[in-house]
Amino acid sequence: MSKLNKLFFVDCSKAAECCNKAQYKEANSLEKFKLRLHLLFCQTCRNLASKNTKLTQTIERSKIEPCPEAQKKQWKETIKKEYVKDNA
Amino acid sequence: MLGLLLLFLSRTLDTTAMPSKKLNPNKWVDRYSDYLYNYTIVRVNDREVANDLISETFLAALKSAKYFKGEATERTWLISILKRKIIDYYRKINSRKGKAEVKIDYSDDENSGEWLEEQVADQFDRTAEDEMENNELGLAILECLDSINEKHAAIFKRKTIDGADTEAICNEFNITPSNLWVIIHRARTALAACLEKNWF
Repeated sequence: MSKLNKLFFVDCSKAAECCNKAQYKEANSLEKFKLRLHLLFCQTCRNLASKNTKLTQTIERSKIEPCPEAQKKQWKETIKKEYVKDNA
Repeated sequence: MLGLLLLFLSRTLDTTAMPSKKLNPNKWVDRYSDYLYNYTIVRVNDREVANDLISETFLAALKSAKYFKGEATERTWLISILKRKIIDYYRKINSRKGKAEVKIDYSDDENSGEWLEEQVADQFDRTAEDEMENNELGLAILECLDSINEKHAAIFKRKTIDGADTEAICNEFNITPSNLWVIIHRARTALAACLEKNWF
């Protein structure tokens, strides 16, 4: 029974991990189930989970566009070159 | 004992007299390029132009680095240069068309007509304003990420904004998946707290 308990009943930090994985759609069904079960009796984690979901929605809504990596690399090189030149 | 006290005092006075923040150009790209990029694309609406403007900004910033007094943060300072570059850009394309001022009536390749009658914002069409607001929200998020642990912010950005694989990030930063989830958790908590304070 205690093994079963360990499998299904998790502590808050484990639940938080499952919750974060779920935000990135990387939680498997067991993790999702463990999270649901934990949320049933843990108010703190319920609050945290709703905040977490809100954060995900906010980030999606903001449509932040990552700057292309190639461009970043190019800028880095230019800055390095110019910076060395200026300080020489 | 007195000597020690004096030494301590002179040290603290030294640090207050010196510019509190020093420029660190080698970190500019990692720290600010996403912010500058998102700031620019909504204003010029062209990714190529945005890239050019940011390049110019970095170069101009390097040139005038010695005038940086440390009164503003690095990012605010870079943005103030970028703002001027964006204004210059609009001046240039305006004068290229032979227009000293922006005319109310418009004519381009495809359409022409009276601006006031045809182009006035439709009150029921909120998309433009929503987009502006969303862009500001994006900048607020990037600003908040700036204030949390740098490594956590970098990992969080790779994961959330670039949408990189867990495995790829683990290899890149040489961490285990459970490390990654702890870092993501801390970053998310800090970000949520910061946004709650500054945005909502």
